[in-house]
Amino acid sequence: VAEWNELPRPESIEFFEKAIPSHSRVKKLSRLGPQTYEIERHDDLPTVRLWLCGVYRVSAADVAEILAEEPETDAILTISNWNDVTVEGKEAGQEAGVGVFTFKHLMGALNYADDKFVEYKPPERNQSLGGRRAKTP
Amino acid sequence: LNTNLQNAIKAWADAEQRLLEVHLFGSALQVSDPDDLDFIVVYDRLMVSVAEASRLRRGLKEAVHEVSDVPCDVTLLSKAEREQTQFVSEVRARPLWLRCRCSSSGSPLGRR
Repeated sequence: VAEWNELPRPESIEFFEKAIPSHSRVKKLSRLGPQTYEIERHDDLPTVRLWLCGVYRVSAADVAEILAEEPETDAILTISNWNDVTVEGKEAGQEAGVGVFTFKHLMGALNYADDKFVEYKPPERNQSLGGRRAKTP
Repeated sequence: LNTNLQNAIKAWADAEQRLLEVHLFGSALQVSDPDDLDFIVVYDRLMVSVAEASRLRRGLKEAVHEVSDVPCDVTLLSKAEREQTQFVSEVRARPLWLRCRCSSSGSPLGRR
């Protein structure tokens, strides 16, 4: 189980680095440090500084530690399909103007700026209509 | 977990007033020589700020490292997060230490 300051599994990093540049709003992805990335976007959308981690459940305490380490963070992503964010973790991020996301949520949020980015939640999907979750390693 | 490690965790937890629960999960429940130790620490957000809670994580790691070289990871959850996520039951964690809960008469109901 990875903590907030530990690298996700190599295959997860590889997936992230391939998937993000393929998003229609993303102009360029740059790695700034072991767990920090900069995502430049099209259409005058602001650049996002992202913290990548593999935490099972991103809690409010995790958000506080990440922001203490990297105060310039705009978004926190916990990668892997089975990871998630607690309600308090999401709220702690929102209070600081930081989006705390799973991969699926980040892909939606990248279409937006400001509060809509930070507070983004994907629309409910009707499984009976054949909805599928994005698979991440 | 070996007795030394259990005692070290218990001693740390007993001294840490703001702590509610410590659970163990992962491979350490299956094998005697795990590659790592995975803990869940639950705190009360009414008593501890989120920033202060981070000290609990470091404190447990230091207590473990005094008696063991096995790396450990700590998932730090508030009581509300513990209840909201069901993470403890999801990963089939085993309680190592629970803070004594007192009855209305004030008598302790026990501590593990």
